[in-house]
Amino acid sequence: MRIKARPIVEGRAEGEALISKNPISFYGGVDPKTGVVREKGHPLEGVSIAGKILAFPYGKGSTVGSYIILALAKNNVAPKAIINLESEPIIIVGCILANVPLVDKPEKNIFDIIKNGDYVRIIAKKDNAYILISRGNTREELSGTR
Amino acid sequence: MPEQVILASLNLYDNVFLTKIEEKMLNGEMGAAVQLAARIVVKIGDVLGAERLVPIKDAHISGISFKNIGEPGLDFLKMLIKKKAKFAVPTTINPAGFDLKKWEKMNVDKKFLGKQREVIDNLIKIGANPLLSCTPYEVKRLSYGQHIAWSESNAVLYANSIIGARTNREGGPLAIFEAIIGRAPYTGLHLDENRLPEVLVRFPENSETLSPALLGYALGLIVKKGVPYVENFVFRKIYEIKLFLAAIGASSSIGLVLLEGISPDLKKCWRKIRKTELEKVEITEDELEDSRSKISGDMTNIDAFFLGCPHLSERELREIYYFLRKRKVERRLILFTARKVVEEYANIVDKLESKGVEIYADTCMVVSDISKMGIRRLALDSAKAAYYLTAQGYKVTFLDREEILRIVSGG
Repeated sequence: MRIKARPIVEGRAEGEALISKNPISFYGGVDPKTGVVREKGHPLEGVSIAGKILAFPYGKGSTVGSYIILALAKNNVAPKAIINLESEPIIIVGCILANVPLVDKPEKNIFDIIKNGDYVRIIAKKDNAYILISRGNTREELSGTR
Repeated sequence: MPEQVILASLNLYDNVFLTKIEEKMLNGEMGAAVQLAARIVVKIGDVLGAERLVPIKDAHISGISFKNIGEPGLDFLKMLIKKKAKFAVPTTINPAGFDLKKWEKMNVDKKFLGKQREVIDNLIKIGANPLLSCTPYEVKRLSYGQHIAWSESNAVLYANSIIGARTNREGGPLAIFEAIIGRAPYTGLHLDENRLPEVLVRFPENSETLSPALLGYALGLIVKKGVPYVENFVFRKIYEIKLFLAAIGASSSIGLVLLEGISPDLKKCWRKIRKTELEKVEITEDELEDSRSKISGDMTNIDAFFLGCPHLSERELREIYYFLRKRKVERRLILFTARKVVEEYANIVDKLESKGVEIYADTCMVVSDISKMGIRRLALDSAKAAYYLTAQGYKVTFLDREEILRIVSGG
């Protein structure tokens, strides 16, 4: 499955998908040392976003969140890439600083299509972006889509 | 999917028109810091649909307290200094985690002290004016129509709504980047067409007897975003207007509210839009009580009473002293103001201190650690501070300024 999206921060990444239907506040909501979500009652509470292809609707909370994304990258626990429904400045600034590929406005409802653990590849180029999804969980199944 | 198919569906998003000098910034011809800043500002402009950038005259940066930004924020500033960043426009900064002179009285620990000083020193190296206040509008001379990049919500609301300057509600890091290149995306509240009223708000008929802070808090909770127009805005004292706007900033993402009889932008509005076309919202006394219950608990065993969110002006300090001058201050009253006020009006500060009132500069109750001052239960007149301190786990009671002054001086 291939979904077109809008490229915001260019780059390529692939890995396991992690989905949050709720917005994420990086400041206060994510531990910058471990990448574990700490927000009380958040669907991802206790789950690490490190090394994941992280999909969530949009960012919320303090703009200090941008610095947290940078800190996650410095501590090697940032997500490999981020997919938003609509990115706002907190996430965009953070991803540019941290060099985390970022895409938004996917043309299909990713929350219906992508499930936790799916193997996902993000290709974000200057002018276009794609989200490639493999239900089989394996790198091999994606290789045909290269 | 073969690569060429992807390339064939070209979809250009770089729609921001750049001048020659902006191209140079983006290409790295003006240094690494300018390049990074330009990359971020242009990208944000692109995503928000800006046609171009707009030169700004002034910047103000929030996110200064080490309590908020922590190591990640400090590392970020160090990274900017390594890239030789310099602010291109006059840039002031928000309050920090303690009073730079009276920190011992605030029981600040040594590690926090060092880290906070490092944050401020680094910002000064980049060219910031260490105002350490959330009321830059009381210090800086702005004029109607001027484009600026401010990132403290109460200041943004004041600049847009009272002065008619133009700024979006920028985040802390974005305002830093905009200050470095002296430009912001020409979008949102920078554009006249986005400064027209969208919702007509009516306050209760007796609103002059109600709390402006609670009215602002309720307005924000109900309207949430966009540009509200308040048809019957009765408050005229600056301190009431400051409390009103700060409360809107805390409970919503609103950056401009048009106030009848006050906001300069209203003059041109009615040529472009009719009042009858606006969606109408009535704010009732029930809704005010609802708002109060969200930020105010019971009024027992209060450790201290706070005024100064937003920072008190010299005039407000005088009014407070005038009220207290013949009374005895029996409870702990703590005030926050700007260093500039303390230095220029030492006389009034001394008079208040001689009555036992505590006055701090460079910081405020929200961004310092008041638990270190032995405070868990407090009362204040700012709905904004009430909201943030409730979220930090303090027991908060909301009262009007006059009630607070009466209670601390024996009823």
